[in-house]
Amino acid sequence: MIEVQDLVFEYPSKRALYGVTVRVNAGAIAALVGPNGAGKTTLMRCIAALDRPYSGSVKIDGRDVNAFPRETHAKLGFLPDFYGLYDELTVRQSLTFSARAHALADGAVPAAVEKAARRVGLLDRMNDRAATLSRGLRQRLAIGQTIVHEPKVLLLDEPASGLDPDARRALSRLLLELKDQGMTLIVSSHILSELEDYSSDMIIMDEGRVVGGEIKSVGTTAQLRLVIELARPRADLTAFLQKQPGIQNVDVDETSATLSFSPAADARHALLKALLDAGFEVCAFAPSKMRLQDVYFDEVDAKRRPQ
Amino acid sequence: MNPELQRNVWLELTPRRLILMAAVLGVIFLTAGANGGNSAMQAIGGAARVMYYVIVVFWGTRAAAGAVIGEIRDRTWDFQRLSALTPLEMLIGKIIGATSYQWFGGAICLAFIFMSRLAENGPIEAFAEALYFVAVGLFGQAVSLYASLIAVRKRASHTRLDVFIYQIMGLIAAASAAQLWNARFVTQILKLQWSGPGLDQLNWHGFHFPVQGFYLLSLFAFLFWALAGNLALLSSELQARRKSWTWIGFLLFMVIYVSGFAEDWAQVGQGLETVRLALAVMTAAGLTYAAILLEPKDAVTYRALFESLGRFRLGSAAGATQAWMSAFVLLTVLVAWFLFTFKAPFKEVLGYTNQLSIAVAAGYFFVARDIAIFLYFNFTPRNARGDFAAVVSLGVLYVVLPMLFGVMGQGHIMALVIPFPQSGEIGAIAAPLIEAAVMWILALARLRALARARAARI
Repeated sequence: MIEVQDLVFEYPSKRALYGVTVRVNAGAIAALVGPNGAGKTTLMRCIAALDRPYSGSVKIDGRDVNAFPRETHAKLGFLPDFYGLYDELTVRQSLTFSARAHALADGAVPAAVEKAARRVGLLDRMNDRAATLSRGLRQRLAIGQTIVHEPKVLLLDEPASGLDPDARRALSRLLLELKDQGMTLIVSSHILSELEDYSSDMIIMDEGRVVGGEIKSVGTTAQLRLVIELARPRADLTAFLQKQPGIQNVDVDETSATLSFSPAADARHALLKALLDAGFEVCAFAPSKMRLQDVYFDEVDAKRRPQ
Repeated sequence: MNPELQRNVWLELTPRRLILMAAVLGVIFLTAGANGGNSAMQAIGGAARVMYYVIVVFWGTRAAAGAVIGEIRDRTWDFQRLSALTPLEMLIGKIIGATSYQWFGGAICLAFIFMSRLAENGPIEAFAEALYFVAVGLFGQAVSLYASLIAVRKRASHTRLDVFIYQIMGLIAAASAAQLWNARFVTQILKLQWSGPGLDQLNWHGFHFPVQGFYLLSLFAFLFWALAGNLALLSSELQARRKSWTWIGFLLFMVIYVSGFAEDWAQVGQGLETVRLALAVMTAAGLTYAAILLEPKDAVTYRALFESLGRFRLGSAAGATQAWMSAFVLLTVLVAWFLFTFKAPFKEVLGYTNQLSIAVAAGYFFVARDIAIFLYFNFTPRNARGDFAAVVSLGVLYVVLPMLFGVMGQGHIMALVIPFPQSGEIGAIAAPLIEAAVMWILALARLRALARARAARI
């Protein structure tokens, strides 16, 4: 759906993207994560055909966004990190303007406005001016404006910043609903736990590059996250685990360990047997879903480790 | 209705504001009429003219200057750039919509201006004056919007002071147009006569036109180009794929337009062909300077251009060319035409025409040098204040140094800093040629150094 190939972006003062290559499949929600200045916003702006890259290409549905920027805009919604609203317009006027500005037929505008308002929970505020809305409601209105024309691709830069827990949960639900309706989403955020609820994939960026060179699938990884707990503490647990083959990224103390390990049943059986044979009183030995945060830190730690 | 226009109408034309504008103007016109005695209509017309300039020109240029800048400041511009609005819809939305409240007030004033002129001079003059007022208002607003869009391209800051500066640009344009409406001023420029009655007719490319009629046509022509310029910049902002030919068209228009006044100036001293070509050369040179000053000139753009050229990707190279390049190509053609026509300075021809040829050739190389000065100061890692440094340098080269040489009695080295035919063919032309070569070498060396530094960081 979204194919980024060797994308290089340069500001006069610095290079922001160094040959970024990444592919996001249709129907995915890709979390775009990384530290400040990693190039997340620049990548999103290039995908949205708002900024022209120095070299490389971005294709959406097989069409080069730089060759066809206007056509790209028609099938795309982008909510920047720092967005603005027309404060003096009402919610209805804002959504109507957005729908009409995205070339919806006049006859289809009222229904599209109602649908967008319902999706973001603003149906009861249609006649309120944007200036009178709380921060959370403003965020919802901004998202409503972004999705009113039912784009195929939705790019959200830090959509949950400043939202209260209720609003964040509502946002998660909305994003999953949009995904289920066939949208492909890229959502950037610093807060990994926030992305946890809805992301299917993750793009980790650091210093203008994709860490690990590819998008990570959050649900199905080659490595399984294993949690081991002991009934009685053993000081030699760390040393024992370090000697076992195939174990990575061990986070261990005397009573528990969390580690990356092969998902193969034979390998897991062998590890459990080795633990029991060595006299460890194992009371828990369970796989846990590879969490976004784990994937992120595994990749970032691997990148920072001296070669 | 165009969505952007509708949005502006929602914001600008609220019933409360409309009533307020009508009430304020009503009070002003009533007061003027009451104090006008027997010529009440004339007094109301005078007040309406003043109020039109205040509302449509002064206030309207402010609104136009802030139309896009306000979007950027309020962080709504990216949303507009991502919309399906066409550049034309955006232009109409900005130039009419953002100023719709001022135009509402202007329309009331215009009605009284028309009625007062109709009563005094009849329908033709009333119609002509109404056309003038509409054009001058739109022209000032279009220039303000254009100045703000140039700043957007250059990623300049967007403070209230900046908006004021863009407004000033529009005010200067409108004030110039208003001044030219005075036929006597046209006479002063064309005939170099500072007193006496105004011209009734003027000669343009051998055709005789009534001054006021020609002036109105010119105003509308410049209004067209101002709107076309805005359309081109908005097309670029909205990433419209179509390559804009507006600049090329404007270059050709200006060269033809300005050289058309050679007939009157030729009577002051020179032959017609000489003056016509000299005017064309000066126009092309002036537009080259305007283009190099107004365009963003960062090293990334030029590196992309040279890379495209190096790989023979002519389409992308054409997309990366800058406006000054086409202006300079036109200047080169015109200078070559000029020199070929007069076969000087390459042939020994004594007399004033030869001096003019030397000045034109020298001036051409000074322009080439000055372009390199602009590029040199803009090819920096941060691309900050490059234009300011270049303008200051040119101020030193064209004002301070000639004055210094003059005071020191060193007239013979004047050729180093200004076109100075008295230094002879070799001296007058060789000096700027060498300076241009040196500056281009320095500018390109700086571009290469930046590329090397970038490559080292990667």
